[in-house]
Amino acid sequence: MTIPWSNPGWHTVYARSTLWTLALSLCGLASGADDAAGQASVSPTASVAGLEAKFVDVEGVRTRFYEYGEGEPMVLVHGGGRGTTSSANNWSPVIPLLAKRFHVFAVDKSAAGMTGNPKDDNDLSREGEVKHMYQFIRTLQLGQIHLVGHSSGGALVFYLAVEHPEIVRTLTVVAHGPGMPAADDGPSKHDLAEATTCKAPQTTYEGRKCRLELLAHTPNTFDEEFQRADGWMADLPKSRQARAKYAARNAQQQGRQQEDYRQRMWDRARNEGLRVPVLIYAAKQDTLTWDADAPNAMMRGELGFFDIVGAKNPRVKMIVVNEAGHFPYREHPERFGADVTHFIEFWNSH
Amino acid sequence: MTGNPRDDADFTDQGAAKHPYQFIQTSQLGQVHLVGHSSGGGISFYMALEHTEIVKTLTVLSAGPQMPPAGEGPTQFDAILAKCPPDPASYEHRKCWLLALAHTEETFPPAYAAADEYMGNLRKAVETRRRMDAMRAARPGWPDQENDAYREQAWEKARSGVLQMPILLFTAKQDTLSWDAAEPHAMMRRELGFFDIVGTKNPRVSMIVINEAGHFPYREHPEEFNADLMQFIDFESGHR
Repeated sequence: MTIPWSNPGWHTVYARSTLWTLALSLCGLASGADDAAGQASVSPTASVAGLEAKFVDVEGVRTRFYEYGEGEPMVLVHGGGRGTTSSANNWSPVIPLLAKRFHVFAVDKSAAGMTGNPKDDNDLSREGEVKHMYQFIRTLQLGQIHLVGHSSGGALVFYLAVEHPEIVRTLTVVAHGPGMPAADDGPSKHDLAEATTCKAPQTTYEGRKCRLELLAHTPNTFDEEFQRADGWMADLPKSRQARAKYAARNAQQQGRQQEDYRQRMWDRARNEGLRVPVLIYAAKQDTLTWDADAPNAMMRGELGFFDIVGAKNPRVKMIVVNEAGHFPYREHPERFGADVTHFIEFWNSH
Repeated sequence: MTGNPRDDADFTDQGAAKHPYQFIQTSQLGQVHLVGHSSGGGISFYMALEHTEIVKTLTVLSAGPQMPPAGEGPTQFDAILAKCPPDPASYEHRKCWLLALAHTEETFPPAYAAADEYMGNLRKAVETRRRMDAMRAARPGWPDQENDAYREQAWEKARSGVLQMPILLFTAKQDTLSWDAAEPHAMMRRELGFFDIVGTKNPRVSMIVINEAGHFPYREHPEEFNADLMQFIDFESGHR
C-alpha cells in the first residue's frame, strides 16, 4: 500500500486520515510514525529531549508528567490544550536548569498532551483544568509548591492560587494570555498574522504548526522533534475527541462561563489579595500582547494583570525580556531559569 | 554639593553628561557599571552613548525627561505638583515635591528635605539659578530646545545599535511620573518606549517593574533593588 508520508505534506495527510490513525492504533503502530525516509519516530510517551515521562492516575484521568531535581517542589503548567497543541514538552529547555535547584514537575494539563480527557465534558472548561491540576498536586502529595504557568497555563495557575492559596508558595505567570485583561481594543499583531498567514484551520497539524511558528520569535524555537511529538499527540483519538466535544459545546455559553469565572477570580484577587509573591514574566516581542495598531508591544495586558494581583500584594514583580516572543523560556532558557530562581530565593529569605 | 560648570552652555543635558565622564576619568575608574536615576538615568544613557568603551552595564532607574512621554496629557505627578506651594526654593515646596514622587511618607525623612533645602540655598546654587535664568532670557527656548534636539539624536544613535552593553530598566508601578493622569494606573509608557529605543538592536535589554513604590524605588525597597541589580550584573557577567 502507498505510504502517505513520503510526500512533504505528510503531516496534513496523516492528520486528515482518521481511519489511518485508528488502524495504526489498533496495530500498535501509533507509537512510531516512521516516514518512508526512515526518520526518527515519536517516542511511545511522546517525550522529547531525552526526558523520561511518568504517568499517574488523577481521579481516573491518566496524567503524564516529567519529574526532575531535588529541593522545593515546583510545578510547570503549559499553555494551549484541550486536544489542540502544546504539552509539558514545551518546558524541555528549562527543566534541567530549574532542576538544579528545585524538584520540578512538568505536567500535561487535562485533555492535553498525553493526559486523558476529563470524565465530565463540563470539565473541558478552564475550571475543569484547574480542578485536575489541583488533584494532580494532591495525588502526588507535593504539599506547598512553586507554581509556574505559561499562556493559558498561566491563567490556570493564577486561578489555582486564588482558589487554593494554602498550597502555593510563589506564583510565576509567563506570557499568560487569556487570564489577563485585554492588551488592546482590537486585534493583536498575532491575530492579524494568523488570519492572513495560516490557511489551514487550527484543527489540523498544519494550522497548529503555523500558529506556533508565528508565536515564536526565532525559527529555532521549536525543533523538528518537538513539532513531530506535538503533532502526534494532537492527532491521538483522545485529542480529537476533546476538540470535537469542546467545539460541540455552545460557544457563546462557554465564552460567557469562562469570562464569568475569570472576572470572579480577578475580583477575589483584588479584594482578598493574593498573599504569595508573584512574578509576571513577559517578552517585548510577544505578538499576542501587541496591539496590531501599535509599533511596539506596550504590555497593557500584563500591566493590567499587575494591577489586579498587586492591588493588595506588595510582592509583585514584572520582568520584561527582549528579543523573545510568546515562549521566552524556550528562547532564553538560561535567563528564564536564573530569573525565576532569583525571584524565589529572594522571597524565601525576605 | 558639586560646583557649577564653568561654561553656561553646559547647563544643558549634553553638558551635564560630560561631568560624570570626567569624574570617572579623573578617578581613573576604568570600566564601570553605570546606574542613573530619573534625569540622571538620561544623563547616564547619554554618557554611555558617547563613551561606550567605559560602560560595562547600564542601569536606568525610573522614568526621566529623556524618555518618551507617559501619555497625551499631564502626568499624575503634574496633577499633584499643581497643588504644592509655588516657591520652588522653599522648604514647603521641596517637601511637597518629594511627597508627590514618593510612595510612602517615610521615603524622605525630615532631615532629607532639610539637607535638600540647605544645598538649594548655598551661594553656588543661587548662582546656578541666576545664570540659568540669564541664559533663558538671552536665548528663548533654551535649554529645552537644545535638550530636545540632543535627545532625538541620542535616540537615533541608540536605535542604530551603538549601545551593546547589558541594559536594565528598573522602575516602579506607582511612579507618578510614568502615570498619565487620565488613567487609573501607571502604564509605564515612558520606560517601555525607552526599552524600544535601546532594545532595537540590543538583545540584552530587560526591564523590571516592582510594586508599592514610587519614583524612588531604591529608597523604598533597597534590598529588593539591590538584589535585582546584583542578579542582573552577575548574570550578564557570566554570559558575555
